[in-house]
Amino acid sequence: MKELVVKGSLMDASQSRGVTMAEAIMEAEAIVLIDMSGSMGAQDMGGKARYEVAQEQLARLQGRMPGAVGVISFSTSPVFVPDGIPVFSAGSTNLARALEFAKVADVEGMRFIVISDGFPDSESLALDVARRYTNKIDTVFIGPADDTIGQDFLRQLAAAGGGKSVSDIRLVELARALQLLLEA
Amino acid sequence: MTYGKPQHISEWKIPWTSLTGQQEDAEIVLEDSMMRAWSAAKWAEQAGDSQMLDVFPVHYIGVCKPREGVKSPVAYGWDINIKGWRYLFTEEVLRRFFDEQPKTDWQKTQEALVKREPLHDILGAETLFDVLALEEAATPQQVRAAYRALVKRVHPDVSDEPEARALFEKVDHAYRVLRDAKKAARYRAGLKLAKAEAPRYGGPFSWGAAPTGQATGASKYQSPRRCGLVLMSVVETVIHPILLVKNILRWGDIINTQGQIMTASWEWGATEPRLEFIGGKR
Repeated sequence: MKELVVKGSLMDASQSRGVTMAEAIMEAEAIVLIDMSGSMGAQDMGGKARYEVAQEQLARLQGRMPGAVGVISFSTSPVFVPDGIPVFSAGSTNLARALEFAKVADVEGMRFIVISDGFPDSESLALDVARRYTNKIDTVFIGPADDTIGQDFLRQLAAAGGGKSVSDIRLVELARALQLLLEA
Repeated sequence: MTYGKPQHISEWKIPWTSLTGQQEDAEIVLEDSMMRAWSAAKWAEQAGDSQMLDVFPVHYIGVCKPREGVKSPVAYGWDINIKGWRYLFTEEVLRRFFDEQPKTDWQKTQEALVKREPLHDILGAETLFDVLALEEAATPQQVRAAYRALVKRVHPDVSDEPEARALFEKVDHAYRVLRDAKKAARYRAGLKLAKAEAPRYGGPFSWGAAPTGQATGASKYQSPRRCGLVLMSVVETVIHPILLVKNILRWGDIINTQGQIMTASWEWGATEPRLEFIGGKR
């Protein structure tokens, strides 16, 4: 059975360039941390779940920017997904742990983008970890427009990480919003 | 928990409670020789730029076992301060300290190159550091020196190696990445994340698995069951708070003011090691 790999993902870049995964990560411009917690299973995206649309949009982004984006999905635990397909695991939202996990890539020139609908297990822990980053952390809110609590938290997170916060987008425009952030 | 560099020898005391978890009115005084070794190592920058060199409390080291996702057998070390596993020792690191004092890979490579001994497995090397026979913490100076030494052996114009061109290309590529400190830092980050991929399948680097997770294969090497304040160079791993021990420089037994030595044992079914002071006058 052929292994499923998103075009433009780090694994695709590694295979097409004939380099190791570590070297592919070395050439990446950004790490996207995508929330795959239980709330992302909400079927409010025209018959699709939020996570399914997020998967499609992330795949589109990786196709547009081949080899530039590393993906880490998180819920209760973070998972590095070099094949570019975040795993929906329906757990809690342990953002602090995910940020701690991704911190190994907090080296000069790397960008970080957190995509979430907010409500992490511990806001204070997540903000503490974000403050320790040397690079900027941008955030993208993907939840109901009237969810001001989730949006407020992601704004706080972006402020703690010295980055920008985007909240007024529709999930179907996620790839475009991410690309604009990365090209800014 | 680590201990800051003392300004004076008299300050080099560690509260008893931080080592034993017990409330006793006593202090452990670290040997002066440990402090001197630490200072010397700091000055010599033996730890390298991505490693931390410090004195760590180690209360128990388990048995080295082959574990999924790790190349060589590893053992976990217990820290009573966090009541959990904190250190990851490879069998090689433990044996190097307890059984022998072999030369470092770097020294061996340099000697082999001088003696014209067979080259290490450059084409089969897993990482760019392996290509140059360097440790991951290698400095740009060490990278340059290793490259110069290797090029004399593998450059197609001068080499009599059968696969000289392929060897040279591999060595040259590794050098071009690692000579640049920024690129090298990004490459190290890539190595760490790439290693974190394996845990999806339940290896010991898994976030979901306890460090004591099921090992495969029979029990192997175990270092002496000594508790200690240990001068070690370590690097952080992606599993907080596990530190990978790169080198043990000096081991100080924990001896209380009655002259008793702290030992540890792990009883069947226990959730933490049993610490006991033995010997001495008490």
